Amino acid sequence: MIVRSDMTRSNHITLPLTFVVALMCGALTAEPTSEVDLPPELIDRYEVLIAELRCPKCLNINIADSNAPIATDLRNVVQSQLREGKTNSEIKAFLRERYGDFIDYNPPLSPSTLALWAIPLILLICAAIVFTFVGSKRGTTELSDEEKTRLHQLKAKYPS
Amino acid sequence: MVADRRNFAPLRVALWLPLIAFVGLCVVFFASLEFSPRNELPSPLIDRPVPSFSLPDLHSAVQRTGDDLPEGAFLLNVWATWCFPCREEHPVLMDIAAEGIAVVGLNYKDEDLKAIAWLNNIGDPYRLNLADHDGAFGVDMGVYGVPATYLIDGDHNIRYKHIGPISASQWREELGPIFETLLGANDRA
Repeated sequence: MIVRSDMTRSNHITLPLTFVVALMCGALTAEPTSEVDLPPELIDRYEVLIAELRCPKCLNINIADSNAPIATDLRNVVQSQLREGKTNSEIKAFLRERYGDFIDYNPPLSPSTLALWAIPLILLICAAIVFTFVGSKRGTTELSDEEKTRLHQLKAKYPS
Repeated sequence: MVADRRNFAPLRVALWLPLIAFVGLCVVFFASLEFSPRNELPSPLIDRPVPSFSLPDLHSAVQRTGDDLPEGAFLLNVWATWCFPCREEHPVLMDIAAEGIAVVGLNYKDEDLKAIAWLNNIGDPYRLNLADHDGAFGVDMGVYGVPATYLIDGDHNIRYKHIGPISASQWREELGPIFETLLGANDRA
């Protein structure tokens, strides 16, 4: 699960851009968000889904937070499909068929998304290698005889 | 001092790595800001058939289906009276229609009377106009902004999606030539 959370973070590698686009979307459209009309047992799934679906108009914002008209429409699509008893993956598949993998903040592993999933792992391995390398160099430092003598001299000079 | 340098030389190189990585990321970000098409998603519907539908005709309210679409290649233009850039695109569509190309309108989340008045006022380039009041067919077509134009081939497959208004030069240089190939393919078939 640690690896997984690291991957999600990599999707947000363009975090500064996210903020800029989010601000722009807020400024350009001002539409009241639609009311949620769902039985209580479906609300949680609804919240999860709209948080994981990306607004196709305002890229880098989910449809839960976007005020774009299309985000309102897609929230309504999610609601009506939940009411029809569709599963989360059926609803996501429905939207992916129409808007592409892009719509899903949690995209499936496929040849086109392989890099997305593999890069964090590769970075993690690189980091591990670097830390091991640097760490071991530091850990195995041995003082030369000359340095030991100097250390003793200094200790004698400045007793603790 | 000699010992110090031997021990810390690799570390000094490593210390530069974050800066190098940072500069590299900056280059990647600026390049993608500059060169990637903004706000344009690749459509998964390309080379797939037009989704089935049953929508009222804007003018007669008669239910239309895929059977009512024009024979041969045509343009499917998503438009609305509330869409400001649609007015800018309108004369280009008039010119395209004047060339004898079939243009089908999808009047998206609009009011019928307003849409009819608009067409009466500034001209009607559409051979057929479908009224998508709640935008449900728009979702099936992957519409997320208006205007949008799809190039449909003779077998009613979606072959190209253009987002935003079509300018005269875009039609001349980009969409027109692609549409020509669809017509050509249709003639050979």
